[in-house]
Amino acid sequence: MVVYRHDRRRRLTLVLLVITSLALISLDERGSGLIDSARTAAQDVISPLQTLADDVINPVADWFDGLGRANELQDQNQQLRRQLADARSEIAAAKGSAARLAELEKILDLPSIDDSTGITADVVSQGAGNFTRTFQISKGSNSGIVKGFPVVVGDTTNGAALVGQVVSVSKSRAVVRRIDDRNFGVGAHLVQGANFGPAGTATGQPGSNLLRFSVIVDSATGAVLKRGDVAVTLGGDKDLFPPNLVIGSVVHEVGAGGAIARDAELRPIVDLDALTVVKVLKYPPIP
Amino acid sequence: MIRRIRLGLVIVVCVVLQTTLFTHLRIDGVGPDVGLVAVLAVAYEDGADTGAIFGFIMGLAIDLFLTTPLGLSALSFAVTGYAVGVFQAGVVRTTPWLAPLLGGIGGFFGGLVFLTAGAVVGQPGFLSFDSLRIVLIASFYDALIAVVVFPIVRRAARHDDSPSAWRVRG
Repeated sequence: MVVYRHDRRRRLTLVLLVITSLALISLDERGSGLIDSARTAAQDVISPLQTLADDVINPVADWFDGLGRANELQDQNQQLRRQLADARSEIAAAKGSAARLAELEKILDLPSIDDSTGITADVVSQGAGNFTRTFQISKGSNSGIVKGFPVVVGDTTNGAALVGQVVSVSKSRAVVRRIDDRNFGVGAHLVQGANFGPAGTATGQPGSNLLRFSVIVDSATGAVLKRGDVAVTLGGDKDLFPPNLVIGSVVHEVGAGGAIARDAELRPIVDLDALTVVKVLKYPPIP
Repeated sequence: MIRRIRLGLVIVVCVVLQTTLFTHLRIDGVGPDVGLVAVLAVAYEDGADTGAIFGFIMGLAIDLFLTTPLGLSALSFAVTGYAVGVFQAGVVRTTPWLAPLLGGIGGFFGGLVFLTAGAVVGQPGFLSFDSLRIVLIASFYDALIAVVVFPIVRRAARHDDSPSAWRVRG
């Protein structure tokens, strides 16, 4: 009889814990401010310990990483020098069209990345979860970072690459969802030669570092997606991202099930596993 | 009371290790669930009730640092802690392989509960072969770290009046 009662009490405890967990999941899915505050508070409490641990672990990890990849890094260095030379000439050629674009945006009064001020931050570590792709940066709300801000690498005046979006912020740190996370999505269009190509959405995919670009077909004619086409953010008045941030380039087409609509897979322009410094854009601009 | 403080410290240490050290030490991009392994050790030491409650609190603490919905790890850790506690009641004698065995099987079970609950609440791509691959690698990793984590956490979970508990000699 005693054993039976004890068993029943144990089961009741488990049932209560399961119900509480489900209630919390439901609250978080609805975007509860209370849970955001709890996350921020917990991160504020733990971040000094994390900083201390990172100060010890990161130099050792970097040393081992460098040791194992010495030859690879040398090759990469040479390759990067060649790419830098190519990129410089491309930038020179693109300056003319950028000036023209800025003029047109001014006429249309579109918000752009020039309207926002970037906050440079170090990437402290990759995310802790196995089913999410995030990274942590060294600055938080004390530096003016707010949940939802886009995160880029590169120079915003000559063209920056989108790498993620801030999803949670504590005083001294912030967590950024990478663009290849399964929960990430952004409005995009392809750049084909000197013109804009089809518009669609770029979303992260489970089990792949590539993003999926799905064309929004509004006509009977199918869109043509070519290998090497570059996808950039659409932007716009109500969009969370400024226009013309580079997302990735088309690797290959993917059948989307329909006769006309086609999807493509995009490879991010930057290596998201090797980020060291990023820029958080204060966008949309805060008046 | 001192036991609760020790278990609280275990939670803090696990969160710090999970968010710092184990973001570097990954196997094929997958890290272990150090918090879950600690839950398995507590459940094995103290039974289903404590396993479930400690699992819930540990899961909640880990959830605060993830972008998956808050409560998902709490749910899977609580269920796993309970299951290991029930299993522990039926164990007659222990072997040296117990820690890695329990770490591996418990890690796999916990991972499956996490995926199933995640899929039920609408997380995209949770029911896929890639997710299963991640759970398998993570549970192998859990088995490896269990060798170190189990003795430390079991000791921290021992009741203060237990003959082998830590004592200050007077």
